[in-house]
Amino acid sequence: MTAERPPRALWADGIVGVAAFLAAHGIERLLWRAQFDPAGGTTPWFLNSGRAVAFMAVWMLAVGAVLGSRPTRADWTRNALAATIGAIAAMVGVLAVVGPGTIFPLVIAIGSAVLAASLFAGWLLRRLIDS
Amino acid sequence: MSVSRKRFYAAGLLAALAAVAAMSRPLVGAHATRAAQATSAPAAQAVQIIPGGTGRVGAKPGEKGATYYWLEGQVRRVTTRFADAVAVAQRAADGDLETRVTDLSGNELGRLRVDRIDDANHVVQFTNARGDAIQAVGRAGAKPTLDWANQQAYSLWRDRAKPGVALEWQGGLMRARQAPAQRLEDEIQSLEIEWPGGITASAERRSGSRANVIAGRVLHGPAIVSRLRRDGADIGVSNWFPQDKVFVWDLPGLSSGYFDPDILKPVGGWSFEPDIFWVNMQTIAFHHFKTLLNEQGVVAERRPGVLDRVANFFEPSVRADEPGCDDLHWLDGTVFRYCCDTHDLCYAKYGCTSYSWWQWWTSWQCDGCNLGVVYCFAGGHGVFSPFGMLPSPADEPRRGH
Repeated sequence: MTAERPPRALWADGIVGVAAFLAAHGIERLLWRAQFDPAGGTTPWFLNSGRAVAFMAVWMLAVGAVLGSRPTRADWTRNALAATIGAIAAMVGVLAVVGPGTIFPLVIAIGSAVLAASLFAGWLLRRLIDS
Repeated sequence: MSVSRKRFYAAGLLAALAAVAAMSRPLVGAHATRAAQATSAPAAQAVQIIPGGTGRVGAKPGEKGATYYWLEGQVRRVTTRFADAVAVAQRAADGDLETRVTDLSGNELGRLRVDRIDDANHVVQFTNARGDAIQAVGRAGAKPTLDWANQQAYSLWRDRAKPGVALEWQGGLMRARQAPAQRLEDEIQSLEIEWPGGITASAERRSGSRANVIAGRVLHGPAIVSRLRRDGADIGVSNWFPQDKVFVWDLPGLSSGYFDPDILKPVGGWSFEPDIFWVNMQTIAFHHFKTLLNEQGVVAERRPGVLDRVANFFEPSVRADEPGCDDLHWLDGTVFRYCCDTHDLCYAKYGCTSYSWWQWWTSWQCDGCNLGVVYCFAGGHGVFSPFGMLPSPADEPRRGH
């Protein structure tokens, strides 16, 4: 008989969300000129390049899928939401460092939508596979 | 602690370490770049010749706006005709520029290549008909364009540039040190731009005054006339009158109107002197953006006349230092760019900053700008706020035709 694993704390998912975004941003910074913006002219930021958006979306999808495989509460959306909030918080923090532009609320809204959709999709996908 | 939980925390730790490592690396790189630039910055006026085999040297980023370069970056070919030569510039797949100068009979006089290293660095190579080649660092603070490459190639040919001839910067062009001052722009007889989709813009100089270009107004002096064609058929025309500083355009079915110093006064007037290349680019910009908007329906239900009125604030973005969608450059090639450009112009007009978003009580005009861009992004039936995006009644442009 296998023991039931306890559900993961929400704060842990939030921290993973933060770490996941920072890691993806770091990778994009490293490879910005080589992969994401060969022509130059934009600062490393995932919404400044279509490739970077795709990379971030796939990355978050994968993170969501990994997290979705872990034991969570009955209402798994709370765990997914915690991870999403963590990722968005990291995004806002990085944006503040990069320098908010003239349309930063729209940037935050669009970025949040990308992160949330990707994380939830990954989470949902994994749960569908596991069910 | 269970094995699975250990794995979970280990994965999180690794991700955090990766982030820290990634974010620290560019700082080191930036420091190294600054150090390299400090040792290789070119002199203010002298052209810095690169001896054979020398590596690439840094330069400053461009001096014109992002919209201008974004449009220029899509130009396929520019043909510039002078009285004694023709220069044809093309953009290679890697972004480098190549110009070939010929005489009027088609005999090659020289070739110029702009090796575009990145957005801030480029190297210029010129080879004359005898095969003598020189290589120089591009000017700091300048971004090479196809138009510039043609003028530079022609100028070097006319100055008989070759190894051993001292060069210096004159008005944005590298010239032989003893060469007499000239304004090459005035010597261009005609200039043609080839744009994707079979679009061409051909501009030429004409002399004499024009009557009835604007109702009730006679414009004097020489003019630059640009004709826009698609697959050889005329689809629009624009005129620039340098003496009166009036730019008139007419693209049937898309847009028509004019700018003069009075209309542009709210945005600071003409902040630059339009040249023959700009007249062509501006005409293409009218067609490109208006067609895009009409096809993709962002302003599908606009009221008659609204787009034309707002155009008076938008199109100058080609000339302005206008950066597109801040932190959303992913969308620069989409219809959303129109929202961003208009918003930036609105900001420039009313002196807004990003602080305007939360200090909403400081300026209702800035609030209007912000409402307008949100409405535009939301795909509203009209991109413009009634407060900030439209010219105020006092700024109402006088329609020419």
